[in-house]
Amino acid sequence: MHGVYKPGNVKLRPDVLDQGQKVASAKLGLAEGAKPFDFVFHGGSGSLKSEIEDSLKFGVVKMNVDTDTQYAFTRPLAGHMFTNYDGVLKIDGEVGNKKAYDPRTYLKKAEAGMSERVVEACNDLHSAGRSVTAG
Amino acid sequence: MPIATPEVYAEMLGRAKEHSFAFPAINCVGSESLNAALKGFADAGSDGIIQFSTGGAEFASGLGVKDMVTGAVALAEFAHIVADKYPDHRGAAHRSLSEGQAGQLCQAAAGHFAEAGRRRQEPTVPVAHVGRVGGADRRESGHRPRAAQGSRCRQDHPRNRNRRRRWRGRRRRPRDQRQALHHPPRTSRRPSRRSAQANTASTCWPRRSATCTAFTSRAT
Repeated sequence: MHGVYKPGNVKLRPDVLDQGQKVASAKLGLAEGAKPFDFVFHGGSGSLKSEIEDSLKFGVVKMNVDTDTQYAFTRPLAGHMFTNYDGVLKIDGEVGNKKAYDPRTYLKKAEAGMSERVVEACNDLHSAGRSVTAG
Repeated sequence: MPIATPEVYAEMLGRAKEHSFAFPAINCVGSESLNAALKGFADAGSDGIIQFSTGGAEFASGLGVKDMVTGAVALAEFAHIVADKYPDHRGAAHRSLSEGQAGQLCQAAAGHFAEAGRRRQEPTVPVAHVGRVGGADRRESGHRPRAAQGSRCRQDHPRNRNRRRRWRGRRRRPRDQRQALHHPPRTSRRPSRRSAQANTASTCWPRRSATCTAFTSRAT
C-alpha cells in the first residue's frame, strides 16, 4: 500500500505472508519454520502496531517509511509559519522578522521533527540498538 | 556510521530475519531529510535504509537540472560524506545504505557506481515486494456508479428508450436552433402581378384570413 489511510480503512492480513513462507518452504523442501522470502512492507502508514509486530514474525525485513516522515517534517514547519505569520511575511509595509524567515530556523525544526519520527520507526520495527556491529 | 557495502547490507538483512526485526527505509528528498534520517538512526542506535524515489531524486537535482540520476548520485555522495562524521555508537559503527529505488534509476545509478569503482550497486539479496492487500477496487470489477454514467433522468437510460418523455412544460430550443414560424417575414416575397390582379387583397400580404381579404378588397 501507498500513502495514508485512516485507521481501519485498510484490512491488513499479515497471515498471508506466513502462508506464503510456508508454501514456498514446503515447495523448496526446506526445514520447518524456514523463511525463504525477505519481505518488504511497502509502506506502513496507518497500520496498527500489532499488525506490524505480526508481519515482523513472518519475515518482513524492510519497511518503507515515507508518508509519516513527510508529515513529521512538515508539521513543525507549518507550526512555525502559523505562529510567526507576521514574522515570515511582510505585512502592511512592515519588514517581517529576519529570524523567522531565515530558512535555517524552520528547517531545523523540520529536521528535528523528522528525526524523532525516524527514531519511532526504529523502535516500532525493533531495529533500535541492534546495529550489525553493535552486538 | 559508515554507509554499508553490499556485503554488510546482506548481513543486515540476514540478522533482521533471524531476529524478527526490520529496518525502516526512509525516503529522502534533500539534505534536510537525509540529515534527519541519519540523525534518527544514530539516536536510535539502529541500522537503517535510506532510499530515493525517482521523483525525490529528480527533485534533489534541482529545478534547473531536473535529472533523477544526477539527484540520486548527489544525495548518495552527500550521505557518504555526512554519515562518516557521526560518532560511533557504543564503539560500534551503524550502517545505513543508499539505494536507488525503482528500475530505471536503479540500473542507471548502479551503472554509475560500478563505473566509479565504488561497490555500491543494488545488493543481490532477493527481496519480495508485498503489493496491495485487500479487495480489488470496485471500478476494476466493472461497476460504475450512477453519477459516472452521465445520465440525469431515467428517460436517458437505454432501458427506457421507448418510454414517453414526461411533459415538463414548454421546451424551448436554443436560440440558434429555433425554426422560423409559419408566417414568413412581411418583406420576404411579393405576390406576382397576376395574383395581385386576381386578388385585390394584394396590399395585405400575407393574407391572414378571409375577413381580412374581404375588408381590404372593400377598402380598395
